[in-house]
Amino acid sequence: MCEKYLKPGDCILELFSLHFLLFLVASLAAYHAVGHLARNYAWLVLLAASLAFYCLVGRWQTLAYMLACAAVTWAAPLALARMDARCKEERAAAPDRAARRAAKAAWAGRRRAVLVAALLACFGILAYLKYWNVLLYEVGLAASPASLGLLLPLGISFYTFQSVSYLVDAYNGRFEPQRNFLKHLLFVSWFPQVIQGPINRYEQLSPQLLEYHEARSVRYDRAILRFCYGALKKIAIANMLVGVIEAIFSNVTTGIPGSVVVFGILLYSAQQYGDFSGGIDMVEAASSLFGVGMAENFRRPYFSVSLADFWRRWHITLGTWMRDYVFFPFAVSRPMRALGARASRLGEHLGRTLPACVANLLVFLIVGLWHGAEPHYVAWGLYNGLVIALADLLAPAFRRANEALRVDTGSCAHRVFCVVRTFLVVNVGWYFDRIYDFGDSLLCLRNTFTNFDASAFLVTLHEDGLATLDLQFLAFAALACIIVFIVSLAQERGVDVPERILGWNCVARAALYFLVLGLIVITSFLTQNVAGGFMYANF
Amino acid sequence: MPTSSEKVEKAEVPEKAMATVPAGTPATNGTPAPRKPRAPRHGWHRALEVIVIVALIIGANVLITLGFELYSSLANVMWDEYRAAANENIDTVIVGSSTGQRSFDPSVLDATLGTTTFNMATPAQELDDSYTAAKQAIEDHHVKRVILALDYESVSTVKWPGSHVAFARAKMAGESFPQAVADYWKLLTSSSFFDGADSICALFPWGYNHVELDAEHIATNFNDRVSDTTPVEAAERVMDGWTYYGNGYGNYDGVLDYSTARDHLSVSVDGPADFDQQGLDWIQNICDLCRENGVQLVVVVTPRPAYNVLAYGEKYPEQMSRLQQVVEQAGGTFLDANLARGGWYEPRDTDFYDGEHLNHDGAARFSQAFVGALQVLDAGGSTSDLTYSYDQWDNYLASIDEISAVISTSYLEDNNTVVSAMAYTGSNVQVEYRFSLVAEDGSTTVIQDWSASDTCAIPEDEIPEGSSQVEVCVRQVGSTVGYDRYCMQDISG
Repeated sequence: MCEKYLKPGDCILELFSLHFLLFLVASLAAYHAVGHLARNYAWLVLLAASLAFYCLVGRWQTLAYMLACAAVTWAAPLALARMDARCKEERAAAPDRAARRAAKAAWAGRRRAVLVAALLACFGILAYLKYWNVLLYEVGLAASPASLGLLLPLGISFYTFQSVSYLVDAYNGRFEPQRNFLKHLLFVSWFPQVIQGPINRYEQLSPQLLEYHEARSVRYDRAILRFCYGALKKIAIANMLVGVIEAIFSNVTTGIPGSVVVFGILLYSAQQYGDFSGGIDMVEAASSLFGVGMAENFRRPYFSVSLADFWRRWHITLGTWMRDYVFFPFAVSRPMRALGARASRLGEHLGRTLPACVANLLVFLIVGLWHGAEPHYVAWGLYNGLVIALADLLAPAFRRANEALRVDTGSCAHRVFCVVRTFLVVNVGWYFDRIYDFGDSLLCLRNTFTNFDASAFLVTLHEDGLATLDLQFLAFAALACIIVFIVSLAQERGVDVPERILGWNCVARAALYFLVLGLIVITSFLTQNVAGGFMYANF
Repeated sequence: MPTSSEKVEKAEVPEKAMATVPAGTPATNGTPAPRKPRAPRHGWHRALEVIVIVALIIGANVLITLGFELYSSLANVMWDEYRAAANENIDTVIVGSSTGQRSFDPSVLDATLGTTTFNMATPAQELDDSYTAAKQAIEDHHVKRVILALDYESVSTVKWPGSHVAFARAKMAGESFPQAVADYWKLLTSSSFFDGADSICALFPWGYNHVELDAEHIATNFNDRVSDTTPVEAAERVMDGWTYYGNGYGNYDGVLDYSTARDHLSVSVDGPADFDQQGLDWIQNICDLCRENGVQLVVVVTPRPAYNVLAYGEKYPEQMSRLQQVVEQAGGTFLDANLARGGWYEPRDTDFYDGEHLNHDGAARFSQAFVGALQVLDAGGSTSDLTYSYDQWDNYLASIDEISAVISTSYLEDNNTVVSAMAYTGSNVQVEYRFSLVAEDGSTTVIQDWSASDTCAIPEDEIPEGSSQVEVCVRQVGSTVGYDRYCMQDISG
């Protein structure tokens, strides 16, 4: 998914397009041409391609924000390194231990000041461009969430978070900071990641970007297969469903039947996954064509056995970012330690888990805000944090209940139960994510339980402007969902599906590829062509 | 007391650093051990595999295209007939969308003017394709006059990739292989295709312009393609009621049922869109093409029922005047047949096949009137007196003295079903409405007799169970006729 609130036309180049494919081919050709001649400079091609891609896909005018973010997060760690050196010198020259300690404290304070200043600069730009207008709108000082006309740079959340992770890790001395600005800029701007992530880490990504990867070391077959799989999820599932979901939730009335709400939320569940994970598959595949493996961002989240497990499988890189840069620092902070100590008087479990629960609430509040500043996103974030916190706090009670009821928690049936339960819990969360008015979210949730009214299902869908044919066409999305489910199930069981497919004979593979391509093509006709795609029309 | 590190170990947070797993690494969380990756194949083996797979996919694509892609498409008919007329001396061509295709009968024009006209308009023809058609005709026949037929939608935002593909594919059919490849590549890399999925999907053309999806149609289509059947013969057989009259022109004979006017409105529920600058740019390009080649260009907004003009409201003169400005500044002649003055052209109700198109008789009448306009031009005169200008929009509205159509909608309000009607007519016409409930046996009960009120609230308990209909009649105030126009509104009890 592209950043929310990108203005129409900002994200104009689709990944499943000839333009992008030609861009990839040209970049690959240039990469290997330069790599053969001067392998140490091949990364410059990747940088040039990344900057060109940013200008092609986003607005070139917003490139300045990315350059500013890269400059800040490049300069600050270098300044920190210089401060470390100065600190060492001063400590070495200090006459006694007290003086050494004083020098260390003084430099630590300065280092913190540099870090805070750099963080404020990065997050300040993000907050201003992404939240300021929405905030003014929410308090009635702006006509609409986009009325100020602020240009939201493509991928600003992703490259800001990624740059900040570099900054904080450098501050913590995890690696030597990068001295070459262009190499750092490549880490920040690597083109497959700017559209929708993942949020990569410097130690994992940067060495791969800077090292030349020969063509024969790259598994193009796996990359192409993954690209097509991603396109299937994005086009045949997400794009197919988005119109129906929009029709259902664009005008929520008090009488909306729960059956329609549940249908819309289930579709949204599939649409969200198809859109985000499909897009990620495509950009991961694009990156791997250059021999650069980016961080995985999804691990079959709808097979999760708890909401916490879900968040370890959904948007993984955001989760790990939050864990490392928000959760841990906050959970081990002095106030949280004090809270844990006080709570432990009421029980050891409470003392151990309460700080983590509070930290989780904070993390998910930020995750909600990361998606947008509107109240429904905040509610969605808090809902997730609250459920996870409660599950953590009540874990002993659940354990005792399982023992009392002699539930075999290791059985397959129990796992299926947990997966279904988690799926339902996640879907309740989607109410707050997808229904853009918080009041409407609550209304839909209420109607789900008090006014299910299955008999009004079809009538309401028709009133929402959905023709019978629109609903029949959902069969294509359902077929794609079945394919994704089968693949996911096999992967859950440890099967390396791409390798298995690549081991088939040519005819079977050609048949599979044609089936997948056909499904993509048909659903693309249905969704791309406003005026009668894949409908009988004699041109 | 546990340490702080112990506390966070219990936390519900993402655990293992999945972020460090390289792309393509097999999942390892399942019970069975993952299979070993297959041994790498030799280069030649892999190349052969790729060739076989690509060949199989292309083969399947070609087979499906033969069966599914519509052989009888009107774009195919036009280009086939155009190629058949390669040795004729064509001096006038008509380009544009279906409105142009079904508004101009070349035989009527040629009978009076002594010209040879070919109608190159095709359904939903985009303006860049109109440019291509005009350019081709100028190159092949050195035509003297190009008539560009437009309607409001030709320049607003609706895009028809299917039309592009059908047009390009039909044009390709008569070209050499390199030229065909070059033309199709031009389509795939055109601005409307290049950035989107269409640029790849168009390699599978069977989805854009396909036969009706049943075995009989697919088999017939396949047979037509591989036999000696011409596209015209196939089209006349496949398209019920359509007749080909020659020189690229074919049409239907049906007449619009005005009680279904709502189904034939061109304006979407969101209201009319502004003209697309890209569309205006293409019109400019066509003007430039004609000027550079010394070709006369006449841009015609084709006739449609008055209600389907009035539905645009003030947007119509506002946007159309932009179009007129572009054409006239580039040296072309602009003529809006919808604003025709009575002395030049007055369409009859029976001239229209639907809300946008003329039927064959209507096309003959309009073509005859258009001959008059061309004669004025040929004599060096101006056609501006033949129509109201957009500045005279109020005069145009005042000139309409009949009710063109009535449409209705319904909504719920305070336990009542409210039926709301709207009559499309001139600004000086006073109308009155009557609302009647229609029973299942067809009998009607008046629930609101003739009055100026255009809404009727029906209490829920007065509506029979199940679905019902309300008949809305409209007539001019003072008239004693049963009604001038009517429409039916579905409501549910």
